[in-house]
Amino acid sequence: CGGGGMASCRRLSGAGLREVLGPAQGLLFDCDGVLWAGERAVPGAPELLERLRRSGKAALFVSNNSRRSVAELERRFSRLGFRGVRAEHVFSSALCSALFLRQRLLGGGGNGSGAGRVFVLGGEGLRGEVRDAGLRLAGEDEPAPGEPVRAVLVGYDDQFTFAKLAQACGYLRDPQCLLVATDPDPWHPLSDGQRTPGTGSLTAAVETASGRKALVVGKPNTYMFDCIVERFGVDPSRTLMVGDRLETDILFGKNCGLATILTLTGVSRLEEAQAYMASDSPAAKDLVPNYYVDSIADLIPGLDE
Amino acid sequence: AALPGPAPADWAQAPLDPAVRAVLVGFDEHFSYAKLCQALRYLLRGGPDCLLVGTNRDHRLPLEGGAAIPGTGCLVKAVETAAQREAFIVGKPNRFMFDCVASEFDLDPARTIMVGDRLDTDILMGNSCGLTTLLTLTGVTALDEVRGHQDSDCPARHSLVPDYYVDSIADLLPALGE
Repeated sequence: CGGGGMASCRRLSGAGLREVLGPAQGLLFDCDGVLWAGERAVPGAPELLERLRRSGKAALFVSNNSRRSVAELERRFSRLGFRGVRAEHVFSSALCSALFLRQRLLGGGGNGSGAGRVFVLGGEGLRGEVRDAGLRLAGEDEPAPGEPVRAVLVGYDDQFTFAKLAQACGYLRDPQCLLVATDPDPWHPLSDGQRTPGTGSLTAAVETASGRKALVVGKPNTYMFDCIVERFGVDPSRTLMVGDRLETDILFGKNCGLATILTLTGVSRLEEAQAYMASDSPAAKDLVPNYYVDSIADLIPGLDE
Repeated sequence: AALPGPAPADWAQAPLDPAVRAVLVGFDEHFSYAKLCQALRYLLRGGPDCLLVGTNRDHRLPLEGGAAIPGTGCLVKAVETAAQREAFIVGKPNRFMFDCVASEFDLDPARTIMVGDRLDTDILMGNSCGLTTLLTLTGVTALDEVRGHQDSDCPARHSLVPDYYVDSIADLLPALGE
């Protein structure tokens, strides 16, 4: 597990599977394209999680999707047939953005007064996580004196408009106002093969208008791993990262010192990984996974009966 | 045409106009996520056969008192990021508009002056097209910005330096005698 040298994108199967999974204490899973696609669980994925549990290995979840609160995600896991996944195991970019803002605006966890408000570009799931972190949102209740907007948070916002973009820029004229984005994803796949624009495209608009660079909480940046370590104390050298998107999940694993497994049930194709491996660009080698599988169900034979 | 339903999954089912062969991004105060979705769908459907064109890349349109509203460049960037491809930009500093003017009016660049307030659009286009360039200080640019480019080691930044400047275009009046 873990460690240096260039990854070589080896198919995981047979004896190799046992060698890699045996020593692992836990696995971090991306969700979309790994555990499920739309409303359908990847066949065998619920069984894999069950087998991990029985083998005494931890399963934690790290998702760039900023639409849902972790409470909603817990219900989603259950609805799609995954047993025993609790909200505390799930690290979404919505949750981690709220934790990040709490740290930056409230310090060690002070009271809310005078901390300022957050202007959120995003849906109710994201807004709820920010409120649950003890922060107040711009546009809700009458602002008290001394409650300027101290952060603009850009998330997945399917109600994004020019007016909201203009409003965000107004707040960002104050250099003390933070610009934070939940994730950098340019687009997300829909179940019929089409794509929907991601937070990355909205963040690009806000950055261009404000002349500021956003602090990006989600993968491939490592903040979400810091949140995981703080709560569960995982050892990167004994933890595997499993994901479907080379530019986010695999690079995230590399950045956090985790060995990486690409699953082919989602966004990235094997040919793309191979192209990165063949590339002369030094940045490209960080996008090559250590291993790949067709689906995470292929990991099951690597676990004890 | 109105989009069915409230959510992106619904919008992705709306029929696409089969005749569309270009997405054109201009200043749109009614820009929305739904429109961004539709733009992305056309670009993915058409691939290289669907043009992606932006009118300009201005980041901001200044208002009185130092405020500004987002410029077209923001909307172009949103579409480019979602589609992971670069737009063809018609506006300054691209020379396309100068070529339009020159062909219509038989201009001699050596005897034409470009007057503008923005270094990275007006002055850059003028310099690229072989015009004499004149910066006026009544707009977005302050003189120390010009000095910064002049003193820079980077040759690209030298292209942003105008030949001349005035505090205001009114300062040109004395040269135009009765």
